[in-house]
Amino acid sequence: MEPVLNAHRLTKTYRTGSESVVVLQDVSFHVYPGESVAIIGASGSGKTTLLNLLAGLDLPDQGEIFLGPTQLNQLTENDRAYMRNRYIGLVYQDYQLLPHYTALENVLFPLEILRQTSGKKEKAQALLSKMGLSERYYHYPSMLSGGEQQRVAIARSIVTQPLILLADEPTGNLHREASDEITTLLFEMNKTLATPMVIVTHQMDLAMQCDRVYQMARGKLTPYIEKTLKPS
Amino acid sequence: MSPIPRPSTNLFKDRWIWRFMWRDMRTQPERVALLLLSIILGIAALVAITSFNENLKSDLENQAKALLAADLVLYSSQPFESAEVALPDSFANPSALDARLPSMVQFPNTSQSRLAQVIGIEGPYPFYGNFETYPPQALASFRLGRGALVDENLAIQYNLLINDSIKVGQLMLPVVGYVTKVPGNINLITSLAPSVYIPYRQLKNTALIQRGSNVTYRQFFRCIGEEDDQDLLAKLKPYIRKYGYSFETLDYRKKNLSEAFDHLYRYMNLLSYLSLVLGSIGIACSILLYTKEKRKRVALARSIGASSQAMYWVYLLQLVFLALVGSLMGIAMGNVLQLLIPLVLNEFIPVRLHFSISLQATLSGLTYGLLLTLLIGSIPLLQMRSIPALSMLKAPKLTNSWQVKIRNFFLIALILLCMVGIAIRHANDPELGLLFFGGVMACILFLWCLAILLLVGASLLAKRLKFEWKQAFSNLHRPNNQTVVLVVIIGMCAFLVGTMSLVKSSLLRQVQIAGKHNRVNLVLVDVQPDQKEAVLRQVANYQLNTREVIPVINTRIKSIQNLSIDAYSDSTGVPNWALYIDYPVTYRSELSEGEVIVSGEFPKSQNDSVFVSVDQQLAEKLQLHLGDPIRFSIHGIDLETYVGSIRKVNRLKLQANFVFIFPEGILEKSPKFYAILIDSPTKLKTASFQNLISELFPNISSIDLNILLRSLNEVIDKVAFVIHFMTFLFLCIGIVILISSISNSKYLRIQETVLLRTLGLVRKQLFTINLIEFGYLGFFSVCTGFSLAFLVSEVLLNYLFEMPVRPNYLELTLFSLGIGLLIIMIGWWNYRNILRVSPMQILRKVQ
Repeated sequence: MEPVLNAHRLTKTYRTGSESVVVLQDVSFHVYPGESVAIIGASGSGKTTLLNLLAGLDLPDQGEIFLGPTQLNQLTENDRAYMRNRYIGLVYQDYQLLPHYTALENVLFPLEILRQTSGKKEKAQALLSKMGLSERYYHYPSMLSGGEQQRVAIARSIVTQPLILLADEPTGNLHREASDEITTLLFEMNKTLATPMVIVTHQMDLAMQCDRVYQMARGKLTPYIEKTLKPS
Repeated sequence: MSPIPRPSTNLFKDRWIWRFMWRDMRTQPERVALLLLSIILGIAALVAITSFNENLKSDLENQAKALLAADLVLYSSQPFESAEVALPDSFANPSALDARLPSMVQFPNTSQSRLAQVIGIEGPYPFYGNFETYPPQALASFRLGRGALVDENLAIQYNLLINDSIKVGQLMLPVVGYVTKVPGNINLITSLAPSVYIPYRQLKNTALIQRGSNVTYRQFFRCIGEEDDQDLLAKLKPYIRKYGYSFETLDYRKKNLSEAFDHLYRYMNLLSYLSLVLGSIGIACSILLYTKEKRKRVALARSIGASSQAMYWVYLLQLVFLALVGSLMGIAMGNVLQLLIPLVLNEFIPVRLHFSISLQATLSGLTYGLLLTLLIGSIPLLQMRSIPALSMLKAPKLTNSWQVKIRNFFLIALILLCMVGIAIRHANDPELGLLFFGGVMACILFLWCLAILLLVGASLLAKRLKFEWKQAFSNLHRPNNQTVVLVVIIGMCAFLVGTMSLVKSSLLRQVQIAGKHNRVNLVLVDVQPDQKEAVLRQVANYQLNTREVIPVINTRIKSIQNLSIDAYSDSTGVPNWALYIDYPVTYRSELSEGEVIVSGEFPKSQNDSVFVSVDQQLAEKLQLHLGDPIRFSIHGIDLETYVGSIRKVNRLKLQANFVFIFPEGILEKSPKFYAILIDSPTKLKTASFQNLISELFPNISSIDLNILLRSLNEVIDKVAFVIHFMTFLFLCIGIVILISSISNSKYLRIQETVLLRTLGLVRKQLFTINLIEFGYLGFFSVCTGFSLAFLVSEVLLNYLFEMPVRPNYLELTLFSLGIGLLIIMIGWWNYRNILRVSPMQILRKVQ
């Protein structure tokens, strides 16, 4: 089985004045269809940097990232934006909803950029209802709780039926109950839509629910737990 | 999977761009309002002034005939109806006459008297324009010779009722009505020198016209049939040449008016240009703040998949929309302001101003509003294209590449070029336009440099001060504080107000000092030789001091450089009026105080030739040089003279100034009158002596210099009002920038406040820090503005009037306090919520 996402020997260095900090060093990483992968690690270990590279938000200094057959790190900024819109679902710790759009409009936004003309509203409404937000279509983000905002963000991330879902601390800003709800929702989506999912987290209970868990430390990614072995 | 090529942005297909643009704009109404306000204020003044100028030009053009009151006017110092100069009976054009002379007018009801312009009218004057009276039928009564008409202002001032009597010279007349409008009258002049109209044929009964009296006769003609004013001039030319009349046609009047108002147009254009430049700075600050706050939103949209072009379009469309709305609102506000300008300038303008929306002003406002907003906005907008999606998560280090730096350099150059273009178009003259641009930029640059110097000085000083002061000074250097921009804008307001105040106070002070030094406060003119001794006796009886008795002889120029004045005018281009008017001259052997010889000798005597001394200004105007022959006509007798010296005259000295001064021993026997300069100790004594003189010698006019001083003050106040009005607009722009800057740095201020309060600072200390910060901002701004004002006033006053700057410290202090207080209030208003709450509340709110 071909991996959906294939990162090969990624290196990323940040420069602060005259000092250089190696954040990622020779990191290789694959995600197969339908699986869930967690990346854990201490603060500043480079896990969010890795996720940003996988999402095409940032570029590695060295190495290659393939999403399907497309080498992401060779694309222009606009092409990478298109890739994110069409094939990558992103969920952030602080939700990142457009404050001037309602919940429904936030979910519709990626479809509008895609110029999808028919059935988009129904699709967005169905997703929000599935997330338990049927009463909240026309509420602005400021009128929603943290858990509700994150559910809207998840709906937005999967509305274009992406090839992969990348989540950065999706429950980091939520209290226990909301956090459990979001975790359940994410894994449910992963199972029902068979969308592979990469979660960056430092919550072990969330990480432990994933098929594979990697640990990031000092710029190196090492397997932590591997429940299932995917054929290479 | 083949994601590339991706579809390119299309405004018709990507309808979300329009929705995003609209919804995004609605979320921050206060930012939109700031940007709109900057555009509105910049455009409003421009539209108001351009419209006013346009309307004034068209009103002057349309009402030129009414201003002249006829198709052609002849001027003479002799009456036209005397047998030797009368026109032949065959001359069929309708004509009217008037004669005007300054004289004291008495009001027997109140036993008061006042210097007025006495005007005798005969015939159907005016042929064009309206002579309006109250009651309307009063004009008919006047034409029938039943009494006098007086200016409305004079009637109000002296409480004159209809049928009250006035005494003009020896003639007592009832007042039949008030004059409310006369063609070509300037209200300000009317209020300074009001007119009394009497029937022409009764002039002789006043006994005011004596030999040598300063009377101007005018004869008004109307064209008949198909003829125009040039045909009429051709018909009259032989008489004009024969009797040496000066004349004015419609073309001359239009030309003269346009020359006279050119200065006003230029001055107003400069003010409106300045408001546009300051408005542009306001726009730049608002756009910078606006786009800065949108960066995160752009990054977020880009992380979801929006292309950089799409996001560029979102904000470009927003800017076009705001520029359009702002410009239209500016145009609307400009037209409202246009209605207010005549309220201020009405007194200076001889025509009735009509309100109309000027197409040129509207188009200019719209074009400049759109052009400047988009050009200024293009720099942050283009930067928006390169905002990476990642900046939604962490603030990227924005370092401009050399390509971006070159692009920004070209954009700034384009903006400056655009400003030069606008200045040239605005001034209607490339040289003047460049001067406008250069002047404004030099002022801004000066204020900018001074602001930086003051700030650097303050931070050096702050190191030795108490904590609160140190903190307040360091706040001025906070990122995004826009301290220098604010200092420049508010400094510009202070500069305008300061310059006006300094020029006004220096001029008035100079006149007051000159008055005190000369101790002359009353001038009697038109004193006939046979009245001289009697008048001097009265002065002595009243225990007043006679300072000077000056003989005055009315002369006219007959030829210059052996050329007739027509030929001289044709060959040199010297204006007709400057050659045809009467020149009052005097004779003496010494220069008076305030006169300096710049070339030649004074007095000069050589053989039998007569050498005259000429005022430098008039010598330039008449293109006279040392040794040039000038033939004068003195009451019909020709006298050949030569320019013996050219002298500079300080016109601000309270003394009788003359264009030509003759040597002694030539004019003593000519018909003349005397001007007597008197020192009167009290106002009461002045008034009572004036009444006595007008009672005993009705032909003598007396001028109270205190009233003149008051009038000068009034005129300067009226001009100052226009400047203050524009300053108010500039101040509004400054306030917009101040609010932008506070909003821009609000997050930093909150962080600072939290930090300081968690470190243990109490509310009172924070309040003090803010008070010092905003108070110093006001202080710096006013200091920079006043420094420039002092510099400009020094140059202006030295160059034009050769006098030092004499500040009115009270006025300047009050203005500084006002500005300081205003800035403190705005700062406190925007900051009060942060000060009021606890650090925990702020932290929770921020989170």
